[in-house]
Amino acid sequence: MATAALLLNSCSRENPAPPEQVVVYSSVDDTYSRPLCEQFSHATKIEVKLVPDSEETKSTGLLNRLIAEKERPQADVFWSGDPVRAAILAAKNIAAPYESPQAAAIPSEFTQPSLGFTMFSTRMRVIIFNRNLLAGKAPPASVFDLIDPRFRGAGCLANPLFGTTSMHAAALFQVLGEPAAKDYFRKLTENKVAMLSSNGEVRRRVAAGDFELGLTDSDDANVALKDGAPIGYVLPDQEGMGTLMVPNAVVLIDRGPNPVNARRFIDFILSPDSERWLAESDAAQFPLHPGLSPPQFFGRPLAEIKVMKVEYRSMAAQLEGLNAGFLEQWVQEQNSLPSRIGRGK
Amino acid sequence: MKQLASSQFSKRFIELKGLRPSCDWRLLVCGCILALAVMPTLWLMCSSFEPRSFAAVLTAPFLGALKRTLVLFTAVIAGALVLGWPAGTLMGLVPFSGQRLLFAALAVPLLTPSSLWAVGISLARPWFAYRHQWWLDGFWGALLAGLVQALPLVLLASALLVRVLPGSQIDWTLLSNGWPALLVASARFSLPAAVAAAVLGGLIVIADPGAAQIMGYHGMATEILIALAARYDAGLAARKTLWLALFLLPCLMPIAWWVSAWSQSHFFGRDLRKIRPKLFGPLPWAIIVLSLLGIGPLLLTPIAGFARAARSPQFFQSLQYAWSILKQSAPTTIRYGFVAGMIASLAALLLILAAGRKYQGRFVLILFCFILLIIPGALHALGFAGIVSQLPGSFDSVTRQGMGPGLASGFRWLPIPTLLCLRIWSLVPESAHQSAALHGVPWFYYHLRVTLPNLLPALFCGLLLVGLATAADASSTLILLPPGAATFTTRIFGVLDSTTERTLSALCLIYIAGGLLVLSVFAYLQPLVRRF
Repeated sequence: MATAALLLNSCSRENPAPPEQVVVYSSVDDTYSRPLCEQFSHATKIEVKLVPDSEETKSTGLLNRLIAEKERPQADVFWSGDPVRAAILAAKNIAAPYESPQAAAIPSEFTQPSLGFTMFSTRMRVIIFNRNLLAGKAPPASVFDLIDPRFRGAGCLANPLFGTTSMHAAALFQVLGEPAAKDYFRKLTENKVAMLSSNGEVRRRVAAGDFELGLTDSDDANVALKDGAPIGYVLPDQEGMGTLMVPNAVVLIDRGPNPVNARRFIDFILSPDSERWLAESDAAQFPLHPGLSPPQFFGRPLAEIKVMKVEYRSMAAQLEGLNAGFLEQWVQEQNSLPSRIGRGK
Repeated sequence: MKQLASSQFSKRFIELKGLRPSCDWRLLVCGCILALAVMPTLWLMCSSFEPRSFAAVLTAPFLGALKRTLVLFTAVIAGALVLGWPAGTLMGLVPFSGQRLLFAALAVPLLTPSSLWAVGISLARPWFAYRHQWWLDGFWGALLAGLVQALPLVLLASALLVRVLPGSQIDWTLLSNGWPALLVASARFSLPAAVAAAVLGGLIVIADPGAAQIMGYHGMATEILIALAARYDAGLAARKTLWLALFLLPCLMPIAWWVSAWSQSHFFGRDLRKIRPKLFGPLPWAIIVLSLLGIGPLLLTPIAGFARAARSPQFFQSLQYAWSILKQSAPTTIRYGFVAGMIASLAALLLILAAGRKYQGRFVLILFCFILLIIPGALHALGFAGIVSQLPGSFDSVTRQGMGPGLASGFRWLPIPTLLCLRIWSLVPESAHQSAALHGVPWFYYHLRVTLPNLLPALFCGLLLVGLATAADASSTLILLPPGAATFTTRIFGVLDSTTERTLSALCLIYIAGGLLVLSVFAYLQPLVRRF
């Protein structure tokens, strides 16, 4: 068996490792991460070996893989779709400090060396609604509309233990305070808000008319609109606590096999050109470099949007506590509920 | 008494002649292979083991999830048996044109990620009025997605088993009481295999969190996913898996014992002359048609979901995109599948040779196969990645590069070729061993000329099935993929959340068509392999 294995391995195309390469683990959608990696390879002649994450194990497989490989990492860089996962890596001493010169122009709150990672292009958490179902009604304007009786049984959100919804939950606990945030989640249950598997499913189900409104990410809303789905979107709480930003975060992995190339990749990904590409793509992400055009999807600069004030560094520890406590219990309560179809109708 | 003495004599005679290895050798081989298969999960469990934390898992939500899992497990087994067992039995008895193609089509769901079928079912909802969509969500949706996988397993197992029904028994039953009696007799004959297949299907369904997430019916797989994805605690996930195995054990042990004892008494020394009875009367045809009418909608619902998105005018472009992704990822997908298939088949061969002819050994193997399938793929893969990171860098060429995913998947899917070989190995009559021993045939020569040709079709079939199961797996492959590599499934999962419905549908349809093509070719090549 071992002989067969070695023979097969000798035929492997991946075996002869090229001298110039960088290994990038990315929880950003393959559709957006792969083209940027190809641009980097084209510009620097350094091969990017990308390991993407999947929807099924979103931000799960890779983070757990990085933790499992901690003793002898394979990755040089972790490109996270949100800062919380990057903060968890920093807290577990898997991240190495790096101050990229390309990040100098990005506002300092996103690039503090004490964070252990650097943030760049940002998505927003948005409320999407089905235009056909909401015809004649006032559209939602706040995340509190999900607990409004007029949308009873008509709202949905993704599982708050995973992905950007977990970050949103932690942000609500930071901004509202623990008692108010817990009350909010209890009211979500009372108002029969359905918990779905992912933001992508929220987009699909609202577009299909199964739900009137749902909480998701701006890139999901953009994809649905480009696909011709009958949806609209709002940036929630512009009159109140503001809309949550979900910036990308890039982490240099401690003791990674290619540290020099890793720094070059981080410089590239933090550059204005990369941010411009992410703004113009279907990802529709706001650049954090000043002076760059906002995505067409939003139609206004970031400065004109009221954003939620959150502390990204403490969010990871807070989320860890919530995931082992209140949020886990809340999700388990949701899990024990019957079919989500027709709950409120 | 005389019989017992004779049997003990022949056993001792064969052992002396070296045709059956001695007990110590068997135990060592079996123990090593079984330990290798469960080592990643055990490593995770031991690396964070505390007696208190082990008991602390048993909370009220955990028990609730366990209850939901057991309900789904039972429902999947019952549903798959009710629909698959009679249909499979009849299809195995009655030859009809296009049967091989039908079997190939029925096997496709086994080799497609369950999440994709769940997405298909989810996309099919808009075909129905909102008030009728409840059966595509929650428990009913999870059951439907589970049946899509478990039912073909039961159907194919029943069909394969009934084909080895002794010719003399078929003759006798047909002559005495006609078709209805043959149906009853053959259905009883295929029942243990159908039950074993249903249990296997049920275990695969409850160990997979993908479909449960999409359908919103959360059991133990979700609990384990939460431990991994929200708590980043692989040790906790391993402890939850162990509890699940402990709770299922009282149910799995009698089934494993029954199946192993049944295979002992029903196969050894039988007349294996094949008979394909001619079809008389409308009854068999009516049952086949009714079964297909029951199974068809089940399998076609997800495909109808994908087809809904295919109505878009840009669908052809999406198909082109899907085709380009397939072309890019096909070499890696095939390589990993092949490595996994080779490793699983060779390990299964060793296991069978060491333990396959004794019903105690058979019982242990069947029980082990059941338990191995309870372990979620991601957990197995994380344990593997953890062990590999402790090894020196010189091991990387085997463990972390092109071989890694194949090596881990090979041991994870070991139950497939093991069960297939177990069945075939049971068919070789004891008299063959005895006569070889009597004539002083050397051990190696006997296995080369008798054992291997008999097991070759099962090994080939196991290689193919493990290869396709590896190709279908996303969660564990993603954890073990060498940087820069991608399989077709991981590429699909990479864009699942961000792409349009029509692109997703195109990718899934290409996957299903590819799987159907591979299985059809196999179905028509299989007789050639058997002849070889």
